[in-house]
Amino acid sequence: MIVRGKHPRLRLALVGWAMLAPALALFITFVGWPAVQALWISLYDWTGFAPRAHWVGLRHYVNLFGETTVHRLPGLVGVLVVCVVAMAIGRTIQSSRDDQRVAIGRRISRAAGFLLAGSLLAFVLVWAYGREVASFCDWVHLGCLAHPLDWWADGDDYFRCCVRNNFTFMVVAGAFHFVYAFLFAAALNLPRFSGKVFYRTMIFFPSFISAVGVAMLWGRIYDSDYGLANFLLKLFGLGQVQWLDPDNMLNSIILIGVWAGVGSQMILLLAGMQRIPETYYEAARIDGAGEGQVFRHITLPMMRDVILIVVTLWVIGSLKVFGLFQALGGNGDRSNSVISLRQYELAFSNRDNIYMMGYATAMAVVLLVLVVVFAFIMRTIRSADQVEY
Amino acid sequence: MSLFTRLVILALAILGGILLWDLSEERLVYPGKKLIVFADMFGPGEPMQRLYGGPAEATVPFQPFTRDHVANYRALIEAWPKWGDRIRQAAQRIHGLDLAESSNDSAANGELNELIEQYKSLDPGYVAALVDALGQSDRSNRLKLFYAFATAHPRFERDMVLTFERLHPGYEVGLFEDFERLHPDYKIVPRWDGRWVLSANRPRFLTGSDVPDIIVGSNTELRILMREDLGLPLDEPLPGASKESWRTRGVLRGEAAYDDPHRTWADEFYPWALERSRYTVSPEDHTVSENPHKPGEQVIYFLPRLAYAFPIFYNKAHFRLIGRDPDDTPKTVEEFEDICRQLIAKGKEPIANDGAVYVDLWWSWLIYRTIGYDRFADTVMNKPGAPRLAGPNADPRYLQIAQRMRKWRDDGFWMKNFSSSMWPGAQRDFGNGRCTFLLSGTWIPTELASTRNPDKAVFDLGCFAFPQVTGGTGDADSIMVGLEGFVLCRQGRNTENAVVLLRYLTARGGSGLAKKLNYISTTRGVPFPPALAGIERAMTTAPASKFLGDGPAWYAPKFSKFVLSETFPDFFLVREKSLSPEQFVETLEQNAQRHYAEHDGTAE
Repeated sequence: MIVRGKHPRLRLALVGWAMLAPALALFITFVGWPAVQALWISLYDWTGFAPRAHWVGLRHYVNLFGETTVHRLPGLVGVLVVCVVAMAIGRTIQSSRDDQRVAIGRRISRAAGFLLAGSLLAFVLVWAYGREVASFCDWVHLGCLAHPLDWWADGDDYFRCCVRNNFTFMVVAGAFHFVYAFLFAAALNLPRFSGKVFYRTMIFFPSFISAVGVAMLWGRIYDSDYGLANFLLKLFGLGQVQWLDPDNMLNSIILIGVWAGVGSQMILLLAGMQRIPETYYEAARIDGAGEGQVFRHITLPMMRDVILIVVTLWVIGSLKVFGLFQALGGNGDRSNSVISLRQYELAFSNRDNIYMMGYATAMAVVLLVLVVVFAFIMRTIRSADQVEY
Repeated sequence: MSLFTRLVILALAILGGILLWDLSEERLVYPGKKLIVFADMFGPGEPMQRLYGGPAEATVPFQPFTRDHVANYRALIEAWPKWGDRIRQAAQRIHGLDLAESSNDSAANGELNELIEQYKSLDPGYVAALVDALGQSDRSNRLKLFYAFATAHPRFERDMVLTFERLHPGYEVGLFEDFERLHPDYKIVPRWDGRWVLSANRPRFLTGSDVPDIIVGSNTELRILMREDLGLPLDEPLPGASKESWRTRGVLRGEAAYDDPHRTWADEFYPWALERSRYTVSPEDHTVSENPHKPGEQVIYFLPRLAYAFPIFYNKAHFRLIGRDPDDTPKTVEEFEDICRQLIAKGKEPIANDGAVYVDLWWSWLIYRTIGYDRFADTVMNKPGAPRLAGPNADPRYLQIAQRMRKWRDDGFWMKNFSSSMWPGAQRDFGNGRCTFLLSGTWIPTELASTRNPDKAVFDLGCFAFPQVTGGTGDADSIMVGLEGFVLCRQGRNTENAVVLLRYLTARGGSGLAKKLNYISTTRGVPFPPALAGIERAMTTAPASKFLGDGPAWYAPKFSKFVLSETFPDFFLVREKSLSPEQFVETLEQNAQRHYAEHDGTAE
């Protein structure tokens, strides 16, 4: 854009802001301000039915994490500050014109990034799995290590259990999702694969169904006496499985999650595969590369960005998962509850009638932080090693 | 004027119109009418409304008349031939029915003869008035008839009038229409907000804008409106009220009963229903929610319409199977256990249950019979000197109850795989003869009506009150009831109009819904649902002190949620790391102490 007049830079900036203004206004109104409000609400006891609220400060967060954890937070904050400062120094050095200094700066900022991401991840995992880690330490006769990890000693154990369930869902369902989605995408990308449209539609079809619909459908399939799943097992002479037993519920939901979500991931991966120019494959084959080598050295590296986007979307989605758990497992049992479901129970549920809007909002803030932490980790991995062909 | 300017003006006009429409709260649509904004659950065409629309299947055999309007016309003609022509004309006018020809179906004729006998037994004066009313297109005429005869016939019901016409597909809609016909200057604006009507109206309460005048729900669900003082206190003088009688005597005492000016509105209700509607203001309500009443004060914010009890439903066919008189229900828990063992020996699964849903009802009932409702409430509320669940000050009977329940589980009293059963699996298994007992609410006969096995040799429904515990110090005859009704919203704009409608809905004329759903009406004089005959005597004759409330879910919902409900699955369900009875009561006590510590020593 050409801007003429007395202060072209200023005018250009003004035009830019004017163009941004509508989108910015909408963002601030519907995203920014509610987020700030959520932070504010989390500092109050509030039912959400009347404007009256009672200031409690950080009490909800102390109740969530427990005093032991809160007392140890300054240590983590110290590590984070050091990492952020190191990253800033690394970035400053990177702006130099000397190639050697640029490389050093890049290394510093990358190392600081990994340390930051690793510290956050370690904190989250130790907080969520502290009890299990401590038991493991005891088991290997390293009980002395268990004491610093006893963050589970107080705080909201139900919430911690929900976080663990979210992580289990994220990792286990995510792994299955990704492997199946990748295999399906690879198969559908084969040039001589017939019936592509049919299979693509069939695999993608469950993504059209709402989470509640999927849960109801599978609820019938999982019925211990009249369900299709046990009927098929019986047909093959296998024993009955109590799919919806409290000890099996999470695994059953993971299975449904994979069935329902693999299609959407497959579509993204397929699009990524179809984006790779055919000439790369031809050149590799002329050079004598086998199919495995082609996959490892061309497909995977070229798919790197798409894979990271798919994984990031999954991580965010799985941390916020609600519908499946609400429709199938929402029975107040901690072994099959997740963060969003817990929030709903405490803030909105007409069955429980407790309306703890402030406490549930504190959980929402923690969930937001978790999402940001994982997004940051994914971003750090993504920026670690760019591939150029 | 440019096109852009015109478009902007048009957009502003549309926005202004929408705003005006919204702010007018339907006044623009119904000018001159007295409006009542009613936040209700299920709208016309929704499955639950259709359920309300017709008599519940389980009640049909007990109905004085058949639901088939053609058969009613025929029987009336046969029973009272002198009015035959007029009845035929009415049937022709309303339904287009030609009743000249009689049916040749012998089975149908057999049923008709029974019906004819029933009509013959009616008072001739009533029948004359009924015939006068038939064929009128205005239903209010028949409603007037209803009120004229309601006092004369103790079992006279709304259905007896409505049986001569097609029921309105939405029962509540029909009631509203009837009210508007009787009160032409009023207009009800229903909002069909679904099952979770309170959540749907939450933003309205929060902003104070467009708040309904009446909201429907159970007293436990609507508790939050009481806590926040968003309902109108009904039993205390209201200094700023527009009506003199409300200022001096409050709404319930300041208004007359709908169909009797000599009685107050409060006299319409069973005393126990109003007693159980009383809300006790807690310290947190006073400080956090700023309820103007002092902690410990009791206020009636809630107006009951229906009550549901929690008896044990049972399958009489299984009693026959073990050689027991089907009406000989167990009087003690020990006798109940004995029946369960006999059923297991015959290959039946005694108790139907879905996971942890309602399993806590067994636990609650055993406590109420063994220790007592009020004593348990003292424990929950952490009253000084009250027995604890575990520890040095424990009442050992809590542990004994847990041990009894574990023994039931270990002995196979609960149906196989109950831990993985999902609602409504237990109802299905009960209604199809797999299990013998189901502890649930009195809505069960209605909910089972369309899914149960119709063969009485397989499924024959009965119910009995929870049996006594030998040596128990709890009240052996007490009845646990939940209430469903209304809150009159403080921020509503048409409170006086709403009171007129509520008086109508809680009068005998508006209480037919109770029978439809096999609920118990909280209005005196409304007949008891026949499907619940097993608990009729206890419920209609017991004093107010015999009626128990919803338990901790009503008087301490946070304790109920965090201490009780969240520990139950670890004990009741069959799982890898189930708590032992000892661990269960200890865990409950630990969680209780933690809860008290977080809530300044109270249960909340």
